[in-house]
Amino acid sequence: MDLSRRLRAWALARPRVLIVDAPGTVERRWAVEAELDRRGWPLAMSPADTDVLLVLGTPGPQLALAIDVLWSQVAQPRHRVDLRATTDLHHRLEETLHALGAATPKEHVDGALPARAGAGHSPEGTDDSTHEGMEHSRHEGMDHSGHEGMDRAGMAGMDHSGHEGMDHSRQEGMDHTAMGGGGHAGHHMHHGGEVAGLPMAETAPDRDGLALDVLRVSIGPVLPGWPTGLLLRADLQGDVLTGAGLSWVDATDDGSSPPADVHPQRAALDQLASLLLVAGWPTAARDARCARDGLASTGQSELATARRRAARVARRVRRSRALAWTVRGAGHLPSERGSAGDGDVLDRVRRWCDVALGADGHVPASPASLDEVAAVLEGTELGTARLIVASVALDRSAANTEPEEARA
Amino acid sequence: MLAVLSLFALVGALVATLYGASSLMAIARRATDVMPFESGMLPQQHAASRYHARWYAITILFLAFDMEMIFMYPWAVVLADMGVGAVVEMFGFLAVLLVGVVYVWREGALRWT
Amino acid sequence: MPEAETAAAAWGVLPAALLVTGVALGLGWLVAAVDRVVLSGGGGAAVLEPVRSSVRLLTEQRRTTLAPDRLLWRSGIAAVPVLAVLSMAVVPIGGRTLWSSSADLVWFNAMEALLWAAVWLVGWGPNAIHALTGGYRFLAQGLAYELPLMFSLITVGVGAGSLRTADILSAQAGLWFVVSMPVAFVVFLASAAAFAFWGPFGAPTGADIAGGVTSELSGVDRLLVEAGRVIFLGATAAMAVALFLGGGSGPWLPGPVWQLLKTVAVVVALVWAGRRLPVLRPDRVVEVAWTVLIPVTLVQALVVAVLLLSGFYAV
Repeated sequence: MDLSRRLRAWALARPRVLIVDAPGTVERRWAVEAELDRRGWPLAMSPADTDVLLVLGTPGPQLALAIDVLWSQVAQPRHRVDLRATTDLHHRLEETLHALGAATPKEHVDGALPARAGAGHSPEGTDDSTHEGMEHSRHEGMDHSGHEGMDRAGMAGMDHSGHEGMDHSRQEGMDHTAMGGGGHAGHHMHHGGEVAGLPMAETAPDRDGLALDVLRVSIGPVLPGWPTGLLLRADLQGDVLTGAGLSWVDATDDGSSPPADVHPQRAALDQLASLLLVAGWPTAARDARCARDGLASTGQSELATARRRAARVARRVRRSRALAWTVRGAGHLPSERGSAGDGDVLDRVRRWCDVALGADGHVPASPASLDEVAAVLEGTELGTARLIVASVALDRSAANTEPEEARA
Repeated sequence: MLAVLSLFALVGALVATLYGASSLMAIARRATDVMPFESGMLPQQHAASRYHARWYAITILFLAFDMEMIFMYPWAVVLADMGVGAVVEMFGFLAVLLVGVVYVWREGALRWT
Repeated sequence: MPEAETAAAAWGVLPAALLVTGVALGLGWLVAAVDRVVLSGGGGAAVLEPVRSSVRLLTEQRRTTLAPDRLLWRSGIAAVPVLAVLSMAVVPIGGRTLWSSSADLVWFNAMEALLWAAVWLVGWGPNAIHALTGGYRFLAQGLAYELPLMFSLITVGVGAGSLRTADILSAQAGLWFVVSMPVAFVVFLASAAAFAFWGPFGAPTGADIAGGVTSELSGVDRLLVEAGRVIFLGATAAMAVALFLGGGSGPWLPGPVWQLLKTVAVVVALVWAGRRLPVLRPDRVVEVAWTVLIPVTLVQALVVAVLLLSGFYAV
């Protein structure tokens, strides 16, 4: 037993971390990422990839729900850190290692099955009801996993969501058949096209007028290289967004984030770091993070090194033909056209590089509104959409948006 | 063939061993049962849908070439014996196929986003 | 020269198969370690990280999702490493392949082609949008790399007048194939990165889709898929040494040492070059593959065919 514990402690000495930064914690995130880079702890891509869920600051109610969902998706051994301040960061991370190494299996205590019941409940239409569904599921999930978690064999049946699913499907059943329920053929279904408490995709005409499956998905609020808290409600046909609506979660919860007065060069490097991560260029993203973190130091020689590093990564990105080839022509924002070049992703990347070089202070302006960005996202492929979002500086406070309910 | 079969058996055993080792070493033997990851939100629909692969036209073109490759493997072996005639025939055939590629390219089917 | 003697005939079936499996794991470790060193920006300690990650994944709990296609998902996961190791059956180790037939190159090609199904199934299985997108991205990418890869394999076959690895090795006694087939060599290595969905061809597991086909994998499932990727990369590097760099030929040192040195060099070069690039998105790569790579590899094949008929490869 002792041996296996020591083995696990050794194996988990470099855990993978998923960072969730609540609004107004930018500088704290930088400090944390610097420490993680220094320790060689990789950043996780998804909950499946996560050992440590690190929550920075105080998330609003909707983000907190999302964090609960994420936490329920992390496999054991796992550890959650709520970091209000970064002063005891070192200590907290050491604690994390200890906790991971000493973790004991918790079969169904904290959320093996948090959301199952709520899933059947959340209808595919209005957005706010999804939050209800989550709220609901959080409570229900607890007691469900209490007695269900252990002996649930597989997904088959899922009858505990039945009482929700049933009346739900009674309302929805008509629409489903009307909209081409034939698409659901071949799957075992409950009434009205629900399988395991969730409806199947609907159909809608594509750009050629063919009736094809359209899938409603959420991109955000928590993804690597994605502005935390941003929620993209998308209709997907294949990997193409046929509809897009952007909003901030906890948008009504104002006063939380006064526009932070951050070092422009560091902010540009941070923007580049997440963009490069999304663009699938991890080594350049690492260099950008490294330069960003170095610029915070006080020593003259360290500062000089960081500046050189920033210049190197900015030049490398600016000159990269592969990156230019892969992002050119995507995401023309009308409000930016004419200011400098076309206003596509590549132009914005190059302007971020200029700021990162420290040469010119012309920071790319935030787009007029989230709706403008959302309009550009429509019709793009998922990867392109991610690049577009990563290339714009979305400011929570400035770019206000329609209330969530307006989009259905 | 026996060698390949034994390699297959061996690597199959290795995979089985890893699963066995995992069930012995893993902190929880039972797999955790979760909702699919959708960046913190709960999925509203099953992701398993009829995915619109918009590059389907290229798959047809691909098949034409892929069939052709079946001829090209044996052709490579006998080329030295067959001489110039074989080269002319094969590359003539490929030229015909490439005309198809040019047509598809001009139609814009190689770009779908 | 014991021309077509296989490793199985020379050392017995089981020892040879064990050796191949061991070498496959070693190659996988090599690729993972070099990749880790490049990713973390140096630091020799990174060579232990693949082992550490493997143990970590073995001790981690596995996951299932809502209404997964369990059977297909699990078979896809297991198929990735199995195919990778099976492709090693025709890769020479110490000058001998485990198995030798008149169609060794076709076997290698077939193992890689079956990966299409395996990776797509890994993406399809968990009923999750990111994984599904990753699976389809792999298919789109396959449409781009598959034909250039096959043409470069055939070019080698033309040069050697045989599809048998042993014959290809002996055909390079005078001159390594890389000299007369540089394009095929580069395309072969790039395709290796593409079918191992790694580096610039990592779109199927891209960070923009949260890890794509691997986004719902934890524990031993993730370990198997990751191991399959790196073994495939390592196997292809070893195959590239055999097909283009003369295998174990070289002065002073014994053959296996040369082969090892060349393989390490190819792996390091491949990983170093691959990590200098961002992900090349499949939707743009496909067009370039059809309009540039396929014509170029065909011209390469034509050049080699003409050289063959003019007696250039006289052995």
